[in-house]
Amino acid sequence: MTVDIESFLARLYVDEAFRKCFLDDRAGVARRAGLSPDDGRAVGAIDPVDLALAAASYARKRSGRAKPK
Amino acid sequence: MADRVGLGWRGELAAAILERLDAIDVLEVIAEDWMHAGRVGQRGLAALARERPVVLHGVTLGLASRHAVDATRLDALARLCGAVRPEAWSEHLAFVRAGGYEIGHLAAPPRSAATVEGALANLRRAAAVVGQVPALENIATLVDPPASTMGEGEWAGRIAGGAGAAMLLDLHNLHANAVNFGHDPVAMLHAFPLQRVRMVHLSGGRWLRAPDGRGRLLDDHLHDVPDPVFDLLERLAACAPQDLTVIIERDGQYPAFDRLLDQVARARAALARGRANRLSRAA
Repeated sequence: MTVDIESFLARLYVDEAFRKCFLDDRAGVARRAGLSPDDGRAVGAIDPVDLALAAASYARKRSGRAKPK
Repeated sequence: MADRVGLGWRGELAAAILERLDAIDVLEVIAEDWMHAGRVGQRGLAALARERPVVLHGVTLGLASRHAVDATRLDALARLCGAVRPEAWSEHLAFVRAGGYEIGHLAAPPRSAATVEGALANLRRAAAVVGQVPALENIATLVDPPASTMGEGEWAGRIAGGAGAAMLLDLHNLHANAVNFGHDPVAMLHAFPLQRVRMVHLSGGRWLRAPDGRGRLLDDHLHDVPDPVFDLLERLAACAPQDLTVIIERDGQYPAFDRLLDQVARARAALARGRANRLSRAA
């Protein structure tokens, strides 16, 4: 099974448990999700602090505390 | 026409906007706020559009994606455009959902040939349903999009050029991406297809202090437009000869309305300085 990188990123932003697994084992999670090796290396380089801040920001939007713009 | 400056329409600002319509050239309305407003509500918006030019601004289509845009959302937007008859509509160069996950906001896809092709396919679908291609807005991102093969300006230029679309250049988004990822904002500005810019967004944000000690600028639309963003507007006006429509965006923590009008005035002043610089360079 393969997954495209947008779907992988969307899950990374939304699914907290998946994000934690990813940060513990980036290459393994990317491989098991079915990302191509190139995309797996690319997502493996995501800054974990940036990812956490983005995920928190998206969570606030979903909870309706701020309007999208 | 000439340069114009206006505000994003928000329910909390409605009474003040209507009272001071003389000070506002143009209004931008969030399309999703009105898609299910019913006939009476949409007729009210159409009446407003006869008083002042209105631009509809979409936030949930997710056009910059390899995934096809949701036809139901396009149909709803087309119906709203038919009811309101806006001057134009705009959307973001972003994806908002994929693989069954709703992100809930705008996310930056990889800046690659694949997402250029995906965006162009979605823009063809959008133009076919809505009747007009949207102006395309650059977004702020806290994650440098992985698997990117080109810079943001080049990527946006390929999409806008391929679609024959105008750019809605959000200067606070540009500023935030520049400071968050260590780029020169002026160099970033010039990397965008400035000849395609017809609309501009200005807004504010706040600095986040991250656990690693670095600061990140969050584009939250809850604060005044900072000075560097007005400086970017002046630079844009100095190098782009076409008329610009500038919208000040504010989504909460509303100040006294006069303070928003001060920012409208500051935008007009920045445009005027940029135009004067352009003329003096040409002379």
